[in-house]
Amino acid sequence: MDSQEPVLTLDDALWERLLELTGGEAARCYQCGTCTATCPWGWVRDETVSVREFIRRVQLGLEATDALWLCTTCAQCEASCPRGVSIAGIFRALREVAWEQRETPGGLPSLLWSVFWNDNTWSQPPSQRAQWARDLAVPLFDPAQHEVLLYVGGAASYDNRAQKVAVAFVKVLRAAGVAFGILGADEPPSGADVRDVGHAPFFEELAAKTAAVFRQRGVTRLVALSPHSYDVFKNHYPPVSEGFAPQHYVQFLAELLATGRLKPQRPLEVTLAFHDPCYLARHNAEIAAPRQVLDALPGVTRVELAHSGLETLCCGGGGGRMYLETAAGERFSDVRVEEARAVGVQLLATACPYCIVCLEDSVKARKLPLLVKDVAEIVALTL
Amino acid sequence: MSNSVMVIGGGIAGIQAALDLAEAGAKVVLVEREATIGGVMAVLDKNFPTLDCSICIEAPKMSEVNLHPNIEILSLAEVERVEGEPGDFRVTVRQRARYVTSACTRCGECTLVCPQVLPNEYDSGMAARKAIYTPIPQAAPGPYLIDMDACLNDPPNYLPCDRCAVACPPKAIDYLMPREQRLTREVGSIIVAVGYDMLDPRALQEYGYGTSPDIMTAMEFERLINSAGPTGGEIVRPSDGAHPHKILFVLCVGSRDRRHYRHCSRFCCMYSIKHAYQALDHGVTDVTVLYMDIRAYGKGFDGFWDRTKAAGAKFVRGRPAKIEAKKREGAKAREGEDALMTHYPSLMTPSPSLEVVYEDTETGTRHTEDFDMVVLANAVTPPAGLAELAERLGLELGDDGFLKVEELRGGLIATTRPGIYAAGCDTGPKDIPDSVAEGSGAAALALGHLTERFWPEPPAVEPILDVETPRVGVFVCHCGSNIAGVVDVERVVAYTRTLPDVVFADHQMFSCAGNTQADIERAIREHGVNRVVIAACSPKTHESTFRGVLLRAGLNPYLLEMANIRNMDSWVHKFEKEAATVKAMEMTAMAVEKARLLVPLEVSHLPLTQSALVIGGGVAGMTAAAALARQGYETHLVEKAGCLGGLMADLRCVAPAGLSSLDVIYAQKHELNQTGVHIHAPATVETVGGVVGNFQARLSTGEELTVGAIIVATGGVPYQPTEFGYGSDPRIITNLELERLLSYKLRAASCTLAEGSPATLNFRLPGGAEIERITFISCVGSRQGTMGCARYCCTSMIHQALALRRMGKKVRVVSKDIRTYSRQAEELYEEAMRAGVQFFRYADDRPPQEAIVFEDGAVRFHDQLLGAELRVPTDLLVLVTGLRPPEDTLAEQLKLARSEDGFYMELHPKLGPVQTAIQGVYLAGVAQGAKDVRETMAQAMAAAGKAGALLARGVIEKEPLTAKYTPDACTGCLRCVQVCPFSAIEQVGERGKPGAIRITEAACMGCGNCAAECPSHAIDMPYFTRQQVLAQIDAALAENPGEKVLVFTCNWCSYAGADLAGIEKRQYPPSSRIIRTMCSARFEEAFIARAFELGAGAVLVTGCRLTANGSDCHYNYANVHTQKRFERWHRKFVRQGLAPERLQLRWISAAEGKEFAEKLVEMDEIVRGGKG
Repeated sequence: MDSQEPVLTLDDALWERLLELTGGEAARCYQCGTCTATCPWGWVRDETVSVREFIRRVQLGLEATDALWLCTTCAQCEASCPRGVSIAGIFRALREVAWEQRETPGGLPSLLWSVFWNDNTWSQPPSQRAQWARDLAVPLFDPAQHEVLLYVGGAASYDNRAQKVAVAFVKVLRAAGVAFGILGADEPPSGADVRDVGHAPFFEELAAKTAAVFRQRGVTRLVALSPHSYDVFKNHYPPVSEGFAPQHYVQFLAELLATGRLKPQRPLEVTLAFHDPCYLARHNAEIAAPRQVLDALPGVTRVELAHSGLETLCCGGGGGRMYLETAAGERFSDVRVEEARAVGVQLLATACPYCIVCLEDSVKARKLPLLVKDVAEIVALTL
Repeated sequence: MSNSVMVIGGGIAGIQAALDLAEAGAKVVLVEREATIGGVMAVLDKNFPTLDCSICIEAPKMSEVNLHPNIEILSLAEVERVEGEPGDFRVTVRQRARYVTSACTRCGECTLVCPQVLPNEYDSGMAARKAIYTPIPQAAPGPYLIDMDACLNDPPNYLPCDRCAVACPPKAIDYLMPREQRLTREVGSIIVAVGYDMLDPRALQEYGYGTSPDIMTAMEFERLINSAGPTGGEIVRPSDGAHPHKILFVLCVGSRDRRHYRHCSRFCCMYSIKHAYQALDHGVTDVTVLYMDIRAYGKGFDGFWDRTKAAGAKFVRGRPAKIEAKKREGAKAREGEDALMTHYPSLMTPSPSLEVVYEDTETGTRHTEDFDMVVLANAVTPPAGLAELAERLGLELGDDGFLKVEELRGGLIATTRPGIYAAGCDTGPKDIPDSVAEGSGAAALALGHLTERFWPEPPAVEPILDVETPRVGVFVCHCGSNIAGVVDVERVVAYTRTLPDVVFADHQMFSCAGNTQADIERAIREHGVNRVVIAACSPKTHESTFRGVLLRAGLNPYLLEMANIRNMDSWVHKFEKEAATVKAMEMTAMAVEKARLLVPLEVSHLPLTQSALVIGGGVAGMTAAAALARQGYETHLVEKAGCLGGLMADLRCVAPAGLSSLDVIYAQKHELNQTGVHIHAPATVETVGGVVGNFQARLSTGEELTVGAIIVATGGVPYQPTEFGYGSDPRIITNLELERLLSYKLRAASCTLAEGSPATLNFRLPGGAEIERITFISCVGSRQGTMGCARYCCTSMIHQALALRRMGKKVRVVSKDIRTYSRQAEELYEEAMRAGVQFFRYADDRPPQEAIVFEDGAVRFHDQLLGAELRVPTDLLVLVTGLRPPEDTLAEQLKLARSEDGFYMELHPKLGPVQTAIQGVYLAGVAQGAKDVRETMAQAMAAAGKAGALLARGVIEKEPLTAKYTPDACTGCLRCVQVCPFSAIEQVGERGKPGAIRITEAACMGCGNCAAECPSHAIDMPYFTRQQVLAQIDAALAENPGEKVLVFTCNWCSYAGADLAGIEKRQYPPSSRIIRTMCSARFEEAFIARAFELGAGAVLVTGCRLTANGSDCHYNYANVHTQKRFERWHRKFVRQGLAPERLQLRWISAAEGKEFAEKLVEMDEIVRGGKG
C-alpha cells in the first residue's frame, strides 16, 4: 500500500446530509464515466473534468471538487446516463451545501442579493422592468380580456440584446391577433437562476411568492420568453392554479402557425440552423416546435448542426455560468458557432436569451460572418 | 394416461431436454420455430472458456435428436393453443410448409440454380443464401426448404421459375404443399425452451450502430471469426475489406441500463473476453475491452480472463459516451465517387475510422480514441413473441419480460402453471452449461407427469444367420449427378466385381431413397449378401439409415461399411474426373476389405438396479432425491447431519428473490415425504464401489445398498478465513455468521426487504458497544490461486447489506467486480445502492488481505473509483467468503476427478455439467463448484433427469463399440488402467500376469485409447479392429503408395471437418485416403508403421482440437494421449530416417472444412516433392 498517499476518512454526517439532499440520486451511480466522456467541458479543456469523480465524492460524502461551479446544468450527461441519475440535480444540491458553508464563487452572492432587493439578477430597479415596452403600449394583464400572460423575464426586461426579442415577439403576437398582457413592473422573478446556482431555500421562497402572484392575477395560460423560466414554471413550481399551463413562446408560435392565426408573408431567402437551448430540448424534450415554426417561414432553408435536437451542445450560459467568468478558449459557444460555420449557414437561430448572448459574443470574438437571431425575431421579419 | 412431452424450442436447452426425455422412454414432440434445431449455439464459433468448437460439440446432439425414434421434430412450427391440465394437455401447433419432402438428399443442386439471392440469417445477414436453401450444413431435420416469400414460384404465378424443381434429382420439391397445417398432440407436460433475442443496438443511437458497418454486434463478430462464416474466419472490416488493427469491445450495451434493460445479460463478459482472445489470435494487434464489472463467475472463467490479459488484451473500466464514424475530410475523398453518390448516397464510403469517447475510470481521464472496428455486446432480451406464447400457454411474465417462475417449486424451472416447465434463457440470460442443466432438470420434472413410457420395437424379420463366410454386396450411389457427374460409377462397379468375396455389385441413382433401400434389402436376400458396402455419402449422416436397411433385411446392422465417395471425392475433385474415379475405386476397395473382416455385433443389455443413492442432504440432495423418486425410482438419501438442509439451514433467506430458507427446506422435505424417499440421517457412506447399474454402498448405520445410479451432492464447506486476524478479533465475522445473526434478529420479520422493515433492531458486540457501521470485504479466499469466483456471494452479500441498511445501519461494501449476474440480482444491486449502501473497489489484481488493512477500528484501502486512499470507520467487519470442497474419500472410492479448485469435475464444461467421467455417477450442486441456490436446484434436477434416464429401462443398452479384452494375451502391464479416460478398466489380477485387468463394458465409452496403448494386442475395438484398419491401409496403398497421403480421422471432429470441406466444395488434390475411427486415441503405432512399410507418401494424423484452453475431444481429453503418442512416433520414425514432414499431426474441428482442404494441399506438395 502506498503510504505516501493522504488518507481520507469518511464523514458520515455530510454523507447522510448529501444522501438526503440528492434524494439518493448519486447513490445509484455505478461509476461508468459516461458522464465525464459526454460533458462539453471535455471539448474545450485538455485536462479531464471528471463528472464521475464529482459524483463519486458525493456518494461518499467528501468535499466537492472544483467542477462544482463548472456545470451548466445542460444535462448532456443525464441523457446518456445508464442509471438515469439526475446529475444536474446533484450539482445543485452540492451548490446548496456551498451556500451554507459560504464557499461560493465571487459575484454569486451579489447576484442573489440583487434578486432579493430588485427581483432581478441585473441589479436594476423593478420600476424599470417594463421600460423595454414603453413605446409599444402593451397592456397590463387582465384575465378577462387576455388569453395569455406574456412572461418577459429578467433578461428580456433589462438586457439590451434580449429586449429586442421581446419587442419582436410583441409584434408577432399582434400580427396574429393574440390578446395578451404583461405584468409590467410587477412581474415577479421566476427564480430559475437562483435554483441553478443551488440556493434551494431562496428559490422555494421565490417560487411560492411568484406562484402566489400568478394565482392572484388569475393567470392560467402563460407564455415565457426564456426556456429557463418556462422550465421552472412547468416542472419545479408549487401548484399555481387549476389548469395553469406555462408554455415556451416557440410552442405558442407553433400553435399560432398550425391554427392559421399567424401567416408569415415576406420570404427571407436565408439558410439557417437552429441551436436548441438545453432547457427546451433536453430538459423538456421540445425539439419539434422551433423546427415547425422555422420550417413554416417562406424562403427559409434549415439545416441541422452537427449536434442538434436532444444532442444539442450547450451555449455555456446555463447553471449560473452566465454570471461567472469563463476563460477564453473554454467557451462552448465558440465550438457551437464553428459548427454553424461548418454547415455553411448565414444565420444561427435560437430561442433563449442566454444562448443569444453567448453565441453572439463568440461570433464577435471570432469575427464570423454569422448572424445570431431569436426565432421570434426571425418570424417578425416575415410579417 | 400419457407417455409424451412437448418441448417448445430446439436450442441447446430444448435439445438436451428432448434427449433426456427420449432416453427415459418418453415420446417427445419438439416444436421449433425455425427450419432447423440448434438455436444460437449452432451459430457460435467457439465456446468459452475452453474454446470448444461450438457446432462440433452440438451437431452430434442435433443428429441424435433427428434420428431418435422417440423424438418427433416439428420444425417451422409454433404452438397456437394449449388445453387441459398436467398429465393431459392437448396442444395445437401450426406448422408452415417446407415445400421440400423428406426425399431431399441435401445434394444442393437446387440452390445452385435458384436465381434469388437473400441475406443469410445464420450469418447475421453478412452472407447470402438462396430462396431454396438449408440454414446450416448440420441442419436437422435435413431437407432443404423454400422461403416462399422470396421464391419466384410463389403461386399464383404465371411465369413460374421452376429451376430448382427441374434440377432436383429425387424430385423432392413440391410448391403446392399446403402453406400451413394445424396439428394436435396430446402430451403429459410441456417444456418451454424458446431462448432469447438480442437488443437491436440502434436503440442506443449514441453508439452509431447502422451508421458504419464496422460497428457491429457481438453475433456479427462471432460469424466473422467462424471459418464457416461469411469471410471464412478472417477478421476483415466490412466497410473496406481491410484487416483491422485496433478493435474495441464494448460491454453492457443496453444491459444494466435503466433506459433499456436493467438486468445483467450474464454471458457477454465471457464471450467478449473470448472475442478479445480470438482477435489477438487472428493477428489483431490492439484489442481493448471497455467494461464495468467483469462477470467471470464460472469454473475457469477468471483464469481465461487472466490468460486473455496476458495475451495482450487491454481491459479498461469505463463505458463509451459516443461511438461515431469519423466524417471524411473534405467533400471528395475518392475520385469518381461523387457522381455515384448523388444517385446512391448509401454507397458513400464513410471514413473507416471510428471515434470513441470514454473515461478510463481507474485513471479518471477522458479519452478520445480511434478504432478500426467496434464490437457491441448488446443486451440479451426476452425472445420475440414470448409474451404471446406465454398468453397461449397460460403463463405469467416477470417484470423483466422473461417467464415468471415459482422458485419454491423448482428454482428457475417451474413456471406459474403446473405441468409446464421452463429451461434456458426464457427465464433470464444463461450460458450454455446452465441452459443444459436446466434442460435436463426440466426433463426430470416433466417426466413426473407421465404414466407410461414408450420403447420402440425392432422390426420383426427372419434373421440372416449364416454370415461366417463373407459375401460382399457393393452398392454405388450416383447421388444424382453429385457423384456420377464426376466419378464413372459404372467403372467403379465393374472394378469392385473383381474384388475378393464380392458377390454382388450395382449402381443406384439414390441409394438412400425409400424404394432404393428396398432394392438393397431385396439384393441382400436374393444374392445371399452378408456384408454390405455402400459407396455414397457420409456415414455421419447416413450410416444409421443404411443400418436400418440391414436390420429390415434381417442382417446384423454392424455388417455395413460406407465409402464416402461424395464428400471426400466427387465434391472435392470436381475437375479431376479420372483421378476421382480411381480414388472412388480404391475407397470402395478399402471398404470391401474392411467389410470382409466385419463380424456381427450385438447391442448388449447389462443388468441395472432401478434405484438410486443420493449422497448429501442439502438443497441439492433433497431436490435431486425428490425429483428422482417422483419419476418412480426407489431413492436413498444419505445425510451426515441429524437434519436435512445442509448449509441452507443456516441461512436466513435466499438472494436475490428473498425466499425464506426455511420455506425452501420445508418445501423439499414435503416433497421427500410425498415421494417416499428413504432418508438415512445421520449417516455417512463408509464405502462405495461397483459400476454403473450396480453400485454397492455401505452406510455408517450398517445398511448395505445396491443402486443403479449415484448422485453426489456433498456440497461445500464455508471457507474459514485466516485473513485480517479473523478468530482473534470479535469485530470480525464471516458472511455466514452474519446470516445467523440476522436470522436470529429477523426471526419475526418477513424475509422481504420492503422498505420500512423493522428499524428497531440493534445488535451489539460482546463488549456491549452498539454496531452502527458495518463493512463487508468480498472475495476473501476466492479469486486467488486455484480458487475461482464463488458465484453466490456477491448477490447474497448485497442482500445482507440492504437488510442492514434498511435497519438504519451505515453499510459499506469493499469489493472487486460486483458479480450480480443472475436473474433479479443486478436489480437488487441497484436497489441497495439507491438505499445508500456504499460500494468501493479495491485493486482486482491483489487479494483483499494485501489490498486492505483493518486497524484502529477502521478499514483502510485504495478506492479505485475515487483514486484515493480511504479510511472507513468500522464497528463490524464482515468477511465474505466462498466455499471449499469438503474433505472426504468419495472421490477416491468412485474414481471421480477433481477440478483445479478441488471440486468434482464434470464430464464436459459445456454439455455435460452434471455428468462425470464415471458412468452412472452424477453431480448436483456445490459438489461440482460453488453456486447459488437456484443454480443448485437446477443442477440437482438435471442430475435427477440424467440418472432417471439411465434407470428408466431397467437395463443398460450399450452399443457394441466397447473395448474387447483377451486375457491370455495380456502381459499385465496395466498401462490401459492408467490411460482409460472413464476409469472403465481396473486391475483385478496380479501385475505382470495375464488376466490382470477387467474392462467394465457398461463404463466403457469406446474411444479405443486402451487398444492403442496395449503393447501386447490384448485389447481390440470392435468395428475398428486392428485387422480391419490394417486391411484398409493395405487396400489404400496397394497402388502407387508413394503418391498417397494416408489420413487418420476421428469420427466427431476431423472426419466431420473433411465432410464439411466436401459440403463447401473446397477442392484439394485427390492424393488422400481417409480412414475413420471413433477417436484419434484409437490410432496405433502399428498403423503408421504399416503405412510407411508399404511406402506411403505421407501420413496425416488428425483429431478434435486440443489447445491450452481445452479440448473438443468427445472422450474426456483422450486426444491428449494422441498427442503424446504422436510425438513419440514422430521421434521414432524420424530417427529411423523418415523425413519429418511425412508424418504430421493436425487438429481439425468439425467447422474447419477450409483448414482441412488447405492441409491436404500442403500434404500433397510433400508427397509430390518426395517423388521428385
